[in-house]
Amino acid sequence: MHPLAHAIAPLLEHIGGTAVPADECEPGDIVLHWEGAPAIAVRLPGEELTSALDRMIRTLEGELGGRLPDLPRADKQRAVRLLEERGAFTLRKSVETVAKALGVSRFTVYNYLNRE
Amino acid sequence: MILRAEFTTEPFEGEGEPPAHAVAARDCLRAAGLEPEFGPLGTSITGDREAVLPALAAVLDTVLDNGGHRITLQVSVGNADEGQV
Repeated sequence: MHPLAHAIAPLLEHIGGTAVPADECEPGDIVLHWEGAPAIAVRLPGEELTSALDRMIRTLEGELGGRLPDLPRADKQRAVRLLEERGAFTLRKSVETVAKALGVSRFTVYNYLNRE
Repeated sequence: MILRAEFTTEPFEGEGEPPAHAVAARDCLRAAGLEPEFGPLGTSITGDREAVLPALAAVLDTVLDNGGHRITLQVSVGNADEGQV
């Protein structure tokens, strides 16, 4: 393993990431260069999932013109419906994240998603 | 004993004013002297068992009388771990 990997090992341990050889880089990995050449790739835990949901929420907030917690009642309902349509609730921890952002309970969100 | 109850009434109406059954349920709790939290996807109430349970019974009747076709109810003892509705 590259000396750079040893150098950043404590940092990776703290954030729960891993270092892999640069030639084993996968999409989403962050490649670190050393003296002009790829040295190692850093893989962050679940980065693509959490950030996908975060990106969805941020996009939606832009469309609805406010942060989820601050939206009026009807817009909060619309937000959950749009997130559902866009597949947000297939993502890990999504119900928890959205419930927290709306200031409602997980039970309520699950109920809403299970409605007929 | 303190109870926390959360309920959702259907059908949902995605736009505009909250549906009549949701509003009626909220007002029914207020009439019972309770202070419900009227959330975007459901309503919650915290209070003494002696006050909450009879009020919930009245809510069920009220919702059915106001066009609700399903009521989903969760009752927890104490102020359980969930966030506000």
